[in-house]
Amino acid sequence: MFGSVISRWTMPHFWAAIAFFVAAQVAMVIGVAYPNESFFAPATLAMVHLLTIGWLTVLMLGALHQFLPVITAQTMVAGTSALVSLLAILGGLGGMEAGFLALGGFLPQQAIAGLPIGGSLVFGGLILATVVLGKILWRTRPLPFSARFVAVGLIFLLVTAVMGILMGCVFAHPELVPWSEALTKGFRLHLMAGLIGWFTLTAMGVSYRLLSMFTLAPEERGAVGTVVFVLSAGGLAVAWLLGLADAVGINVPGETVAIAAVFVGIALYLFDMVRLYRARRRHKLELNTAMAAPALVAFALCLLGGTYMVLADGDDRFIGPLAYLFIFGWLSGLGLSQLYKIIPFLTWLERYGSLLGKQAVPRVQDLIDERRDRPWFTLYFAAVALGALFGALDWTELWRIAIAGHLVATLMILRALLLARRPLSPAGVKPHADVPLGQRNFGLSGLPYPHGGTIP
Amino acid sequence: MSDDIVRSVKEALKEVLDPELGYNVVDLGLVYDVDVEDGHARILLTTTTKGCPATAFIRDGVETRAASVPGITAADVTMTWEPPWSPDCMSDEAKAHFGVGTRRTAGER
Repeated sequence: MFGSVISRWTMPHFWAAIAFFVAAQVAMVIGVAYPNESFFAPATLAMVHLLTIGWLTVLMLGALHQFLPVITAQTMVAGTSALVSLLAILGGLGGMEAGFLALGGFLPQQAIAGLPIGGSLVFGGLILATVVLGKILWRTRPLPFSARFVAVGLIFLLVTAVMGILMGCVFAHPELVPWSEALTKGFRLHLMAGLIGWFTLTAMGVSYRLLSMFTLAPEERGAVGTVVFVLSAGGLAVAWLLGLADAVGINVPGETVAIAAVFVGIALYLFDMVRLYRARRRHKLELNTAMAAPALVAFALCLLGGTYMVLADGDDRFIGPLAYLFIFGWLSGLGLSQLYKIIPFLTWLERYGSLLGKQAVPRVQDLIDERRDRPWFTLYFAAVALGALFGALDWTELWRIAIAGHLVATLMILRALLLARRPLSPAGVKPHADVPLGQRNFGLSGLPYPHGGTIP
Repeated sequence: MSDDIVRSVKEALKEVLDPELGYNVVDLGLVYDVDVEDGHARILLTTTTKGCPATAFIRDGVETRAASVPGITAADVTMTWEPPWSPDCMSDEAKAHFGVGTRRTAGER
């Protein structure tokens, strides 16, 4: 039997992730972290890890627990191990946050040990999640197209975490490792593995599958898709290994070529997304698929910015606003827009799935109000665009106002997601033209549901 | 008689939705075949995508709704993904609802 299971711990992943997303934005707005403070300020590092571990990693793992079985057409989902993994990540992140705050003098110096200890706990949680997800991938060999991106993404997740722990050790015991060299070279590889390897490759793979499913576009991506995978995943692996060689003092040429291959792969992915949208059979886009488009535009702008940085021989004047656009525009924009579909869908499965065929049930679309929520998505992306612009112009105060704008939008989208969880009475089921709702239960009162209980 | 009861079953199954698309399974073309013999309905069903998390609910819903049709004593649903479903399987009404075929798509060029 295919696709018959719900990942029960996915929703807690989502709520925890959104809470961290809100917390990170609050830290930016009130001025305790970047852009008010420097990129390497301890409070900024605390905020960045709220975003990258608390928000994006937890969000993606929660989504993968539910949708990797969809991508691979497997029934296997994580049981309690997903909860244990989540708790380890959350506990470990707490330790890391304490470590960063201690670095900044907000907590006693002993708390710096929270960096390697918390990092190790996070790593344990990530390994557990990766083993569960890896087992699904292993059972699916040869991997379907989109699952290949996820597989490489998971490897880079572990690489990122290992490097993070090493850097945590550097912070906790600077006498053990040459400080500046490890910090700069390790930092670059940590960013490369995390932002491109884990987040972006995984988002690319999942977006290929989910966006084609939601827009009724052909899933088969042909030769273009294969080239996208080879250049982006293969190019990144080569670039990362060459960067590692360089960090340990072995100079092997070719890193720039490998990075160029990654950029070409990403450009082809964006081109392929345009093809996917143009080939869609569902002409009327829902809000989640419509709002994935500005996230893809943000990704394209980041690609242009990255290309400029490489061509301008490492001119990194705009790296802060670019990283901001990458995290808030591309990754968070895509994440928020797809949550707008996924949370109502999972809510429907939990609440109404077992009533199907027995009484009138709402559609997934009835759990949300796109007209009400569209302005908040518009505000979110407009604020991120303005924020990136203000950041590039070095107008920090205006940038923080823009961040306040997408914080408000995030809170309103969170409200919409919480409202989607409200129990909907049968009277609240909106009539839709194609389905005669008729009587509430087809004369089946008193009969048992297949999943327990009786029909009222 | 058999045609009438098959029609009744199909009509009843229009009350079962695909939750993601928000449209009934019959007009979406997810019901590949309905056969009724001596009050026993056998239904061949698919989903829009293999691995859809709603599969079990849709199958159970179709089975329960078919079994509640007067004259039907039992209903069995068999899932299949061959041939794979595509938007071309939709009824004209469903295609109009989703805008399928209202614009030139890349595949049609």
